[in-house]
Amino acid sequence: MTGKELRIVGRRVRKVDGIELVTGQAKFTADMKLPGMLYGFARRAGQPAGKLEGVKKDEALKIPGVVDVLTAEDLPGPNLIGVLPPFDQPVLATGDIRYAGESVAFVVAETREAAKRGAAALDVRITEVPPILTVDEALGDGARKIHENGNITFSRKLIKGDADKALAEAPVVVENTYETSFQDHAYLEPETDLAVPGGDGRITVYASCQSPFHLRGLIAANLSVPAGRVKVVQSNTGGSFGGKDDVAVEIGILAAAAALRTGRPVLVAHERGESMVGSNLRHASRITITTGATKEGKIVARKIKIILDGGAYASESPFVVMKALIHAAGPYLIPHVFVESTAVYTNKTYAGAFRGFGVPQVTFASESQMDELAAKLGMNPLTLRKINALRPGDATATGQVFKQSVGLLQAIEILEKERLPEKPEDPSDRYLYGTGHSCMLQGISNGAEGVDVVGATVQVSQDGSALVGLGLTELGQGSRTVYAQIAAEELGIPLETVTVRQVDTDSVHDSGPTVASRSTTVGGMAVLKAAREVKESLLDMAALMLQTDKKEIYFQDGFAILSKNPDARIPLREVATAAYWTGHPLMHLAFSKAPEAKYDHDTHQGSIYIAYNFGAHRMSIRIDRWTGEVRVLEHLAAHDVGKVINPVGLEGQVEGGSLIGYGYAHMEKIEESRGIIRNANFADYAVPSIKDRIPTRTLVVEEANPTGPYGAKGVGEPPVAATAACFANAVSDALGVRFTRLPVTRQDILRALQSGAATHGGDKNG
Amino acid sequence: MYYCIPRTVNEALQTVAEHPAGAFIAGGTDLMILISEGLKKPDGLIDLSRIEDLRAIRKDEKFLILGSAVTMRQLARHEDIPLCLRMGASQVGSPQIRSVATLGGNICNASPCGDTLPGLLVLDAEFLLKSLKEERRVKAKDFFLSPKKTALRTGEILVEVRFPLIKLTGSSGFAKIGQRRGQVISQVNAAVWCTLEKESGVLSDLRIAAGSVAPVPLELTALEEKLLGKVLDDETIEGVRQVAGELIAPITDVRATEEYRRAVMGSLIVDALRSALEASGRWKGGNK
Repeated sequence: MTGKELRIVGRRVRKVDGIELVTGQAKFTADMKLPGMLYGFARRAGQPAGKLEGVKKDEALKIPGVVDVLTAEDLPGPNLIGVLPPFDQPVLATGDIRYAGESVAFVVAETREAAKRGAAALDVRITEVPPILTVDEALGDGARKIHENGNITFSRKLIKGDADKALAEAPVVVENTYETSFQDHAYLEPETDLAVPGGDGRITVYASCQSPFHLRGLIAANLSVPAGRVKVVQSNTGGSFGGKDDVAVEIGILAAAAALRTGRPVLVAHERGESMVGSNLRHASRITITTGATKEGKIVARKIKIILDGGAYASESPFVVMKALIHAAGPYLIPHVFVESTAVYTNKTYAGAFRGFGVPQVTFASESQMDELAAKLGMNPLTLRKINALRPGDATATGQVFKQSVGLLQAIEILEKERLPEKPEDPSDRYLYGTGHSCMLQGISNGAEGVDVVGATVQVSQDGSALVGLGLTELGQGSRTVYAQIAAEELGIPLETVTVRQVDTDSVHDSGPTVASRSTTVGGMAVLKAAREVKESLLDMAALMLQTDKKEIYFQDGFAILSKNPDARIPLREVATAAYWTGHPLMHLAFSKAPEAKYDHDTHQGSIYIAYNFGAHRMSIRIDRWTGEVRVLEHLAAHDVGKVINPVGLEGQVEGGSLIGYGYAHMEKIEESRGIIRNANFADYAVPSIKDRIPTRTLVVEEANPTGPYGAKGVGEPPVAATAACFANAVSDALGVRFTRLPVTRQDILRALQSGAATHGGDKNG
Repeated sequence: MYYCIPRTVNEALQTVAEHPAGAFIAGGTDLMILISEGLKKPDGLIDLSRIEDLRAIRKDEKFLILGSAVTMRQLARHEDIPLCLRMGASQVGSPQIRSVATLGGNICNASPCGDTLPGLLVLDAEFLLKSLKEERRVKAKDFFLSPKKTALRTGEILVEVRFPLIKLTGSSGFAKIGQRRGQVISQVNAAVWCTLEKESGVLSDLRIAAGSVAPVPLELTALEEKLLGKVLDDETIEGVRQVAGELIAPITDVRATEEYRRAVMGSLIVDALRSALEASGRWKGGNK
């Protein structure tokens, strides 16, 4: 034993905060009840476009229990939010109404019911304007401008080689257009913030949120106070998936502004309808792809046009545009690529970050077309993917070359080794069977989208236990457990003695947003570095105590142990106590900074991401010819994750992400008419229930990533895209007809069977 | 706003006479949504869930009698209750909802998609409605007038639901389809009740009803007549799938299109028949 082999990293461990969560001991923001607490409720526009002429507060203030009403002019700051430029969203509407969920006034009252009655009683005058509800209308000649600068939110191009020329010369060409719908995050806990005035010129905001430093910055700016006056504490957060950024900021500002005016705590707890109408969705999209290949199946070129419906505000549209742009060509070696990606404003609920961030849309389109190409070539779809799969040393669509950690081929080969599930004997021919594949890549961490730094602290106490602090948040994804494992591994202490603290902006370093599958990779690296720095300090101490060189000592199971004679050991608590008394530092702040993205902004050629997660999925399904009902018989999800830190957490991430992808591909559809969402509840918006869980099996490829801790890469987002794409391909395989629009619902399937569009198993009698 | 908790039916009748604009609540799983969305504005609530008599399931010489405050969970687990009703109750909402939602609530909410309602139709259920002045029995088929509208008059309480014991001698079943598998509102549902001749397997009696396919839960009498005297072989089953969709009057709404409802009607009836007959080994339809 030398302490070199990993003892805690890679082990199946239970979530460190799991027991509190499943037994209901964990408290969420809305569980907090403070003396004198008021309840806030926003009055929404209720129509998708118009001019706000005025809000009269009188009638609302007459409602018993109503304490205060805020309109735009009551906000002390610029009344502007947004996660990134062009910061185009007001907290409370001033002139233009751009979507039906827009907040126009904010009522605070002694009870939630009184606040709601007050909001209903407000006299809100809006002059209607014809709404712009499709991207085509928005882009049409002479279309009304939703924002000053027009209806294009953001647009970028990726140019590699000469796609037009290569397509003109390609022996085999396929082209098609694909569409996807909006999707709601559907986290169990709707958005909730509680603002508490401190009485010392400060204000504390407890928030169910993803990126507390976003909140702090924007709340402070909109209150016109220095950021240090605002303390944001991330409460236990019941899911986020990208959804608790903009809206957490919006309600945080409203609660804080009202708390300062009234001198009382103010809680805003969205109900489900508000959550669906008034917070960002996944972008709907329309994607046209042309692929050219040789007769042998080698892809020579892809030309892709992406239009994203971003709704009323920019939110994270610019970055989603880029992510879609960069990923649209798929995980393949293609010499000539041209992609144009554009987000467009419409008078609908705004779209922003959602697990996958533009990749699920383009992966569905790209992988559908891979199957179409395979059909045209008469080739096995998986073989086609294998021929074109990126290998180490190949250039991606952006021309970036990874010499290692490109495990797509291995992922495909794992699938090839797995036998297909057998079809049962079926005398009735009621059921149709199909299998679909998908391959994908997903850039890890922010890359070209922004600065990529995490600061983490590790503090060892005199008892030898450790406290970890960093600005990335636990949202259910298991990051706290990963950080605890890394700290325990490095310090050689039991996992149970490591605590990963709640994030509050007073106590941890701003680590950027918790997004882009970056927690394990970039956050884990920062924890690892901080732990190593503390360890060096403890080693110095232990070397003095053991009277040897520190190279001769390793830490394990809570002991400092002499390599040559493992019986010679001192408990780490004694080392830590001695370190305290002798002034050896017990706490370090360390940074992990990802290598900077370097690329050409006109062509997007260059180094974009620090690593990619590569995935290959296979799904086998059974379709009920009579009802269109789909049963997933098997779902294999193989991902190159570099190195598994916690297999249990990995499986949870893959299964959860896959279910979101399945809901996206099969069930979930925002039904909207004339700019109003008609199914803003879980009875009518079909997010999967526990009974709709699919039998996902997680398969692992570990091609070490040099930029991650122990070689790890993130896996939070990738399964969404891969699952949605292979579901669509499985349905198409079963029915013999290509579906070009997600979701493919039971109704769509039955319609295809009955209309004769399906070439397999059509209902002769239908 | 008041909240009354009567302990007997008579006390409840007194209460409603004093508060004619109050709403009855038991589980509240439908009512609370209506109130919270402002679609119903009662001046108070009268809680019927604590009245012992309304929570009982009992038999007399001729009838099986279900109190109106019997929960979905009770219904789903009670062995004496025919499968068409048990299955319907067991597929309402989630375990939490089924623990508080009641039969009376499902009936009086009168949603066309209520999962116990087709079962009540095929069982020839009768509803006992009481007011301070009188009591009357109304047949299930006469009770539902239009979506959310029933024959219940102001001042009346639905006290019990009963159906003849003879109904327990037949086989019954239920099937539904929704946008997902769990916690789902029916796009279409169907209940059947039937008896077969012992040797031949010929349908000697048959009742079929469906939900969410018309303004009220609907009995498909034309289909019943067509199938009586037949054996449920592949050809008959195919016939059911053919015609069932033409016998209903569905609409397109946020959950399903009219076209889809028509298309799946027949297969749900077949599935309900299978669930009725499979347990006793009398299903001849193979895998269908």
